[in-house]
Amino acid sequence: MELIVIAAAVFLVFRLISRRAVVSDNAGIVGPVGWNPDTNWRVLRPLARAEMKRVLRHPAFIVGVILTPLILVLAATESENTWRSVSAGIALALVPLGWMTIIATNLVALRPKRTGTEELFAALPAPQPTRSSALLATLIAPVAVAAVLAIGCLAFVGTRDELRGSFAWGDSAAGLLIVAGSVCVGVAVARWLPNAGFGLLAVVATIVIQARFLDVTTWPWDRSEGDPLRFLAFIAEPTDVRDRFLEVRPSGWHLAYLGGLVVVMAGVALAREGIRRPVAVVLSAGVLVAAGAGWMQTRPLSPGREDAMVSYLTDPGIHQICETSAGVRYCAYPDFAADVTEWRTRVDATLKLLPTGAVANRDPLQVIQRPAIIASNENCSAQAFEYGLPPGVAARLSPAELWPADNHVHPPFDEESFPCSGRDVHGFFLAVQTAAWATGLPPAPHDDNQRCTAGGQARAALALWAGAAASPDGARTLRDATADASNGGATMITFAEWDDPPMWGVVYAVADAETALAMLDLPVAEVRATLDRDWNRWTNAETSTSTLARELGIDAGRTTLAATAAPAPAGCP
Amino acid sequence: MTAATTTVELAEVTKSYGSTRALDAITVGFGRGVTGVLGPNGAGKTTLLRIVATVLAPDSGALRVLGEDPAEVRGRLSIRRRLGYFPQEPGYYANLTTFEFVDYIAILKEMTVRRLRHDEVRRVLAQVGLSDATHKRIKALSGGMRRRVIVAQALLGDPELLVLDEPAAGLDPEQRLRFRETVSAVAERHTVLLSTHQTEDVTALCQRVVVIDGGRILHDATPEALVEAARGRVWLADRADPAARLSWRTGTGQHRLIGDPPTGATLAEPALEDAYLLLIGRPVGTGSDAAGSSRGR
Repeated sequence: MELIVIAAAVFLVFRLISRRAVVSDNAGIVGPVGWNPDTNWRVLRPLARAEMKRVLRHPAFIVGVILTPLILVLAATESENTWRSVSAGIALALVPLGWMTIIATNLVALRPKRTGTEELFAALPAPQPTRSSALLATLIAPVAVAAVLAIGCLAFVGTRDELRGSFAWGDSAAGLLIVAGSVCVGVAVARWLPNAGFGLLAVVATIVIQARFLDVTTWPWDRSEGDPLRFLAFIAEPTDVRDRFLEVRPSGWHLAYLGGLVVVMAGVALAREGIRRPVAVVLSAGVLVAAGAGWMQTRPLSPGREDAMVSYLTDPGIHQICETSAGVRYCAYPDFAADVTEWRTRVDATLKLLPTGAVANRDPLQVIQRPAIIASNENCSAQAFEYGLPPGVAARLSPAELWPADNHVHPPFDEESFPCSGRDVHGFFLAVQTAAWATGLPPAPHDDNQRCTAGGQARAALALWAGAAASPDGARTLRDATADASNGGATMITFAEWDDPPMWGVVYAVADAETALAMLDLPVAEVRATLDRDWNRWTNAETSTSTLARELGIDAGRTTLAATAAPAPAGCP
Repeated sequence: MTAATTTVELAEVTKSYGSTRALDAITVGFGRGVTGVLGPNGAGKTTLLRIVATVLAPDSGALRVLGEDPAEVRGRLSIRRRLGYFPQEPGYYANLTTFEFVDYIAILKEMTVRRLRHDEVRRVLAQVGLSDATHKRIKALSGGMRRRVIVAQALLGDPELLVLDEPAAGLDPEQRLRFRETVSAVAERHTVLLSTHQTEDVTALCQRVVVIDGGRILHDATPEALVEAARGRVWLADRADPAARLSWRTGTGQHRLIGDPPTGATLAEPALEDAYLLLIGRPVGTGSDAAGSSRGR
C-alpha cells in the first residue's frame, strides 16, 4: 500500500514539475534580497497576520479542518476505554491536519511563482528572510485551530464516564507540534524545492517516516512493539500492554524532540538565504534539542525502572489493590481498581447458580488480575503480551513467572470488549473462568499459554452454562462462538474469528458448548436441582457430558455431543 | 543631463539570453520626468526595465539606480524601498479583493503602521479610479481594472522611481487619459520610465523618448526632436507607392507614405509614429529579429 501511495505521489510530482517548467518564464529573476543589516523586522507582524489569513483560508487547510473533527471523534470512540489511548488518539487524529497544513503553507509560500507575481514581488523591498519568517510565524494560527479541535474532542470524550486512567496532555500536545512542524516543512520545502509537487512529496515523506517508525516491528527495524525506538516517529501510539505502568512513555522528551524538529525545519527554511548567525543558532539549537531528546526517549530503561516493572508483573500482590468480599479475594492493579465491582457482580452471579456447598471444601476463590497471555494488537492480530514490553523487561521475565499455574481466576487488563470484531461480552469470560474454577477445571491458562482440553466432560458443559447464564450477553456470546467454530468445521472453540482468545484455562469442545446452550433453554431451577442432587458426580472428570444431558432430559438429537462426544475425559485433570 | 538630476545611469550594460543579445552595451541615463521607451517586440525594452527595476542583473556594465548599486544587497534594498514597478506580466492573487491585494503589497513595501497603510491603499486605489471596487475580488474585475490595480500598487508610497512596462495595454480611452493624468502628476517630482507601444502616450506624456531595437539605442531625445527627424519624409498621395518604405490608406481615402517622395505626393506633417516607423523601418508591434518573441525582451 505504501509503495502504491509513493508511486502515485511521485507520478503526480513529476507531472506537476514538468508542467511548471513549461509555464515558467522568469528565469534569471533576481528575487527578494537576502539577509542584510537594513532589514525592517517590523514588517514581520503585519506580514505574518496577512499570511495567516491566506493559510487559514486555503482550501487544503479547510479540508483538513473539516476532516479532523470526524477523525478525532473516531479516534476517541473507537480506541480502548482509557484516557491513555484517547490522549494519543487525539494526537494521531491531528496528523492529517498536519498533512493538509504542509500542502496549504507550501502553496501559500509558492504563490508568487504559481500566480506569475514572482517578478512583481521580487521588486518589493521586504527581504526574503522576513517573508520566510512571517510564513513560519503563521504556525500560530493552524496550531490554535488544532488546539480548539482537540479541546472540542476532549469535551466530547469527557462525556464518556467509562474511561479509565487520566488524560495525558503530553501525548495530545504532540499533535499540536505536528501541526506546527507541518507549517515549517511546507515553508522549507517551498524555499528549497520551489514546486508544488515537492510539497506533496513532503507529505508522502512524512507519511513514510511516520509509518516506518510508528511500527518498529517491521522492516527495517524488526524490533519488539515495546522498543523505545518507536518514539522517533512523530506520534508514538501506546503499546498493547494496556497498563500505563508497563509502558514508558517519555512524553516530555518526545515533546522536546518534536519541538527540536520544528525548530530545525524553521532553520532549514531560513537557511535558504544563507546561514547567518541567527540561523546557525536556530539550527544548532534545534539539532541539539532533537538529538538530545531523541536519545533520551529511546535510551534503555534504568535498572531501577526495569526492576519495578518486573516486580509489577511477578509480584502483583505488592502493587495491586485487594479486597475481600463474600469470601472471595479480589486484586486489581491501581488503574483497574474500579473494575472490581463488575468482577464481584459476575463472580457472585456465577456462584449463585451452583449448589450452596459446591465450593465449601475448596480454598477460597481468588480473583487476581493478570495480563492476557495473548492480546490483540492495534492491527487486530493476536500478539504475545511480552512483545509490547520494553525489551529489557521482557528479557527478564519467563512465562512461568508471569502466568503460574495457581488455579486462581485471572481477569486480564482489558475489558471484555473486542473493538476489532465489534464484540462486547460483558463479563462472560470472567464468569466462565469462575465456573471452571468451581467445577475443578483450570480457570486460566498458565506458562506459555498452556490450556487443557475437556471435551466430553460434564463439568466443561457446566462451566460454559454457568458462565453464560451469569452474564448479560452470555447466551448470545456462547452461541456466536459455537457457531463460528462449527461453521468452520472445528470441533473445538478456538475464537479464531475474534481479536484474541479469552483467558480460559480450558479449550472447550463445540459439543459441550451445544449442550450448555441446550441447558440454557431449561429453567435455571431445574438445572440447579439436578446439580444439587450430586454435585461431586457432575464435576468429576470421569462424568461425561452425554450423561449430564440425559439426566437433564436434553434431546440427544439437539446436540452433536450426544452422538459424538467421547465419554472419557481428555486432557484436563 | 547632469549627475545630480540623473536617477538611473547605465554604462555599457549588456544582457544576453543564450546566444541572443537583448541589450548590447547600452549607455543611457534617466532623470526626473517621463521617459518613454519605444521599440518593437524583442527590442530589449523589458530587459532594460527589469534591470532598472533590479529584478534582473546585467551580464556586464555599470548600473546605478537612485544613487545605489543594485548589485549590492543593501543597494538593491534601498532602491526597492523607493521604487514602484509595473511588470509587463504582473500576475494577480485572483482570490483576494482589490484592497487586500494592494494592502499585502503595501506590507511588503514595509508600510508597517496599519492605519497609515490602509489610508495609503485607499489613496492609490482612488487615484486609479478603483474606490468602488475595493471589496471586489480581483478575479471578478475586467482586464483593464486589473491593470489599474497593478498601477495602484506601483504608486504606493509615492516612489522616487516608477518603472512601468506597458501599463496602458488594455485600458479604454477614459482609463488611458486618467492614467496619463496620474503618471504626469508623479513625474512632476519623480522619475518615470514608461515602456509602451502606444506612440500617442509618448507624445502626450513623455519629455523624452528612447527608441531601442536589437538591444541598442537608436534614438534618445525629446519626442519633438524625433518628429522633426521625420520632417520631409512623410507624404500624402492618391495611390500607394511601392517605392515607399511604408504606406497605408488613411480614413480620408488618401495614402500616407513614408520614405522618399513619390511623384504627385503632398508633404504631410509628421507624427511621432511616422518618425518611429522611419527609424526602425517597420510598423510598431512587429518583431525586430528572428529571435524576437511575442513577449518583451
